[in-house]
Amino acid sequence: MTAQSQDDRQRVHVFGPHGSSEGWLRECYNYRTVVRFLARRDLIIRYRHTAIGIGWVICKPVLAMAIFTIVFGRIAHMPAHGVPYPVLVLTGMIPWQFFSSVVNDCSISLANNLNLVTKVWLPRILLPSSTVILNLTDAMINVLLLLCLLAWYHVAPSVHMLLLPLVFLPVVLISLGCGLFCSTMMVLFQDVKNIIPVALQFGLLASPVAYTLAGAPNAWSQLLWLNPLAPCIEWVRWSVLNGMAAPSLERSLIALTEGVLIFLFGVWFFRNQDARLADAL
Amino acid sequence: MPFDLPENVTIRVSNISKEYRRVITGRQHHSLRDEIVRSLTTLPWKRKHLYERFSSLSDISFEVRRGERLGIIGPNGAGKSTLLKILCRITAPSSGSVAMRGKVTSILEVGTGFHPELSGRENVYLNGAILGMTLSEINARFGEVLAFADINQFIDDPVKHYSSGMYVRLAFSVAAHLDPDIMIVDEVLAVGDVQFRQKCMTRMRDITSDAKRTIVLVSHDLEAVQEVCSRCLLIQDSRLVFDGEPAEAIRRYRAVSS
Repeated sequence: MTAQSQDDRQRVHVFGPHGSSEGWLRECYNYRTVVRFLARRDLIIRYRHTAIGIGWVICKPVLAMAIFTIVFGRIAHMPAHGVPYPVLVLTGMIPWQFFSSVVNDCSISLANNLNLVTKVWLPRILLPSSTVILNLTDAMINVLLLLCLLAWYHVAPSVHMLLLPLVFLPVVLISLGCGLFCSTMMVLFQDVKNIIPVALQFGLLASPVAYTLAGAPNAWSQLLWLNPLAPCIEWVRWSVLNGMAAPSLERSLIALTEGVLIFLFGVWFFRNQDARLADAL
Repeated sequence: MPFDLPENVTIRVSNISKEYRRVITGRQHHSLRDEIVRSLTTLPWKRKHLYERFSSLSDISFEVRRGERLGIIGPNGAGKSTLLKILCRITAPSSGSVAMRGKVTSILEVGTGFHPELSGRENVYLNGAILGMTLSEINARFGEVLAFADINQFIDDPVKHYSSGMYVRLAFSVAAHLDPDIMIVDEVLAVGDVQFRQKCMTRMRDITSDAKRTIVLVSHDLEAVQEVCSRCLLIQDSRLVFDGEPAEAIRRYRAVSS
């Protein structure tokens, strides 16, 4: 036995109504293997039958792209700022799809892993958090789809695309923050499951997925900029497509601040309600 | 901070109480809508009258020393399961605290987190991780787990194709190869066919006879408690009414329940 594990065997931890003496970050770290295998489980289930798995993943953005292209591009003639309209939509769809899937997956994660909440103890925040990994994989597949679409339309991707992982980081923070909040609310209140789809529907329209904010400055778009996802989506467009205007620094900083606050609020809220979860489920 | 556990004490439960509250009027599963309506229509100082509190455990304290095998018995609804859940950290006490020394594993069911689509191997890793093992610990014990479960050639098949016997053998096998300092078990784990049951019991005996390990067993099975435990708690009406010899605890339990 190593000195480290000898030390662990002597370690005393105390827990009571308000959590544990261990410090929750340390506990999450101790259970890091769980995240790995939960994510692996989800990946295996989705991609074991590869063709069907990938089919489902690209199905949603492709359908959304088709609908938006017909409605907004062909019927309403929204401006596309020099890129094919489907490309404009799909670039917006990738961060949006990630956000809405994370929120959905998080909100059902506790009920889906019921036994991991009521039959065993582990840092429960890891259950919703591990859904991010699967959704990042899906987003990567969608980026490949986007590259195919760009090739189809003979549009060269921008070199900024190398910055895409960095640009995506605030999207992850916002999504996980909202996801943690929803996962808790879902357990505590029965009717939240009816609210989430409506809120997501609204969010899709309030985010620049089917349109772009960068080219249309007017009073209402000022309001839409307050949506923290808006600058994120515009940054994703900037990184993939040539000639797209990047959001201004102040808007980006506001969105980044909002994103960090949403993430911290989500974590705080989950931890605050953690003790009630097993009793409520 | 109450870190001052004496060297030979592995569990200290201090003044644990657990209260649940339930809404007196209206639906039990409360919705956000109800909550909002309630908070708008009821004055803050009157809100507490909307709930009824009932106590599931009151003021339980005890200590367990290293190597002790503690049984917890009591009639249904006495608060035994609540105590078990608090010791496993599944639910938090309303007041009081629990201090434990070393690595704790709680097993309320075998095969927690097993997924039918995953292979036996994948499930062993997932289940091991859920029970708090690190990757290297699972790797180190994988061979033993596999040998004990005796399902060699099927280990890479999806668990949904297993017979129920193979399934519980694999699930038990993971639980039986943990090496915690404190093990909290709900009922004595013996599963599968007669032959495997024998193997389970032998393994349980090996696990429980390790002098460095502390065992907490919550059970309805009085004979198992008598056989395994060196000390026994009797919980009645959410209170700890007896703490001592298993034989005496069982005698008192029988006296009350008959």
